[in-house]
Amino acid sequence: MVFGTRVLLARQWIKNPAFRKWMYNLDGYNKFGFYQNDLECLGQLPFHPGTEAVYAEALRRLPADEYDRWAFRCIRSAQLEITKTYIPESERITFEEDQTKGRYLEPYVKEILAERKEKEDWQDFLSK
Amino acid sequence: MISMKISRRPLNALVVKRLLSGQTSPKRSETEALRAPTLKTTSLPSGLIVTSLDNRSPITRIGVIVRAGARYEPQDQLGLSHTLRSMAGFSTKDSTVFGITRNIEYVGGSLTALTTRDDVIYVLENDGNYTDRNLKYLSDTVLQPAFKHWQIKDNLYRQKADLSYYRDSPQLVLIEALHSAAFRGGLRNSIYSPDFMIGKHSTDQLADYVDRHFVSNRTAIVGVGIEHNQLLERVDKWFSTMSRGDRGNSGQSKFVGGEARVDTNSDTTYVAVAAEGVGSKNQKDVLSLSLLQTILGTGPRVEFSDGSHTKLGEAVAKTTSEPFAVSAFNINYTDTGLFGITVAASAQDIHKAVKAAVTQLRASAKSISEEELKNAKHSLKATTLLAAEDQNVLVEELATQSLNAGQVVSLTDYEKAVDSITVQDITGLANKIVKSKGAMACVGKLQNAPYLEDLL
Repeated sequence: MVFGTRVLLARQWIKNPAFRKWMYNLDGYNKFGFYQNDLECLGQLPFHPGTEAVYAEALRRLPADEYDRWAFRCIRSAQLEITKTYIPESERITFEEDQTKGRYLEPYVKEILAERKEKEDWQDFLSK
Repeated sequence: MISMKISRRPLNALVVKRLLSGQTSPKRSETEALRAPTLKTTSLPSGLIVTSLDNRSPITRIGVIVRAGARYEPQDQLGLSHTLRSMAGFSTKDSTVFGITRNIEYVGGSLTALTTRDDVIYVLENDGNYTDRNLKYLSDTVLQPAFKHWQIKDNLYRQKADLSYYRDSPQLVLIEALHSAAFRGGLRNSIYSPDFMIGKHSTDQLADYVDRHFVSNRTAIVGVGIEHNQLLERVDKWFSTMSRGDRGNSGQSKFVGGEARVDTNSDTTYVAVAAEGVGSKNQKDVLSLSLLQTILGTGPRVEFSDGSHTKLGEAVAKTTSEPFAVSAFNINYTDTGLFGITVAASAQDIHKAVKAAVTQLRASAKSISEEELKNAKHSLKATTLLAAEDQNVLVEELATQSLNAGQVVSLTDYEKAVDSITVQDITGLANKIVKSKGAMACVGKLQNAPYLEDLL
């Protein structure tokens, strides 16, 4: 479950950027070399037939070089797990980088959700 | 009955009728009189040519023709025009493929893409009331296609199906082989992608091709079943964003004449022999060659009959007792063309059949009787007028003429032009063709198929 999708009470302290940065470091997925969008993809095979998940379809739509980078990050994290180490502090993904590059799947996800909504709207319209 | 009359005629006319009860029904007013279909062409300042044929049809067909056919694809990206045609109707910048398909089909319309070697034609066909709704999809498909790379990949199975239909038709393989042997430059490109290029076209290549070639001075827009001013309004609304600079390929091509042989396991051998024809710019030459083609014969008029009642058919029938088919063809591109004959016969008799057909072609090129010419003129006019009854064919024909010449020849002018061709016009052109270099293609079992040197 990703931090951003939980429903939160609208409190000022949660939106404080310093707090968010601290929370990001506490989450700690950057120690494994992951971006935020990678977490949704974990465990979802992109070319598996019948998968309804949105993130799997978004992974399928990635251009080839972006997909290769995702694969590299997964393999690197497996390697870190085996050797029981983390990525050194100096090379970890920073909070700012995660906000921009780490959301690389968002445009594709938005498009997929819009397509699904269009189909559902048509089905509603036809079933009336 | 009375209520129908009240709804259709104004009240004073009804009153007049009742007073003059002995009269027959009142004359139709001028606005209700049937108007002949009107053909109008406008050249817009951007270079776009807009033609409309208002034939009061309930179905409106809007065609957009762009000078971006197979001859303009870069020689290192063969098959690009096939992918482009296959991707018509897929996602654009504002719409998804589902949206375009569902919206057009919901109102009973259709969006088709057709590629020739010279042009690509997109035709939107729907009931006249829904044209406004659907023109957005047509204009987006032409001007702003997105070519999303996963859709290209998902679409490959359709291109492969196209190719398997192509391989199953030896006539298509024959004509494509003839072009690849006969021409140097763009015209040797096939309208079908080669097998090794399926899946190798990228979004950037397609987007660049559209960017360079889909410009207003390479485009014409045709409307059949829509009034001219309405068409101009809609063109202004939906196509005014078309760019103007022409950075497209010149598509230069020269006839060089060569031979192509395609061995397949077919007991029927197909042979095409051709020489350089005429481009579509010279109407008189095109009509002369069409008349020669009609005199020689384009196969039987009655389906499944034996085809020995045309001039070419008579000649070939003497050489073989197996089923055969022989026809003359006349292909015209903008600056050049092909004129020749195709022969299909059993693999044993193909040599004699082709020699007989070519001999007949030479004999006809030397002398044609006035009687033959008169019959051919009737036949050609009938074929054209009957073909023009099909409005889809009409859209393509109007579009091609608008783009090539900037104006359309009306059917009455066409008939006059056909009637004005004389025997000298035809034999002069035909003698030139018969003496010039030839090109040849053979498909099938080729153990007996002739070479060009055998036919000289």
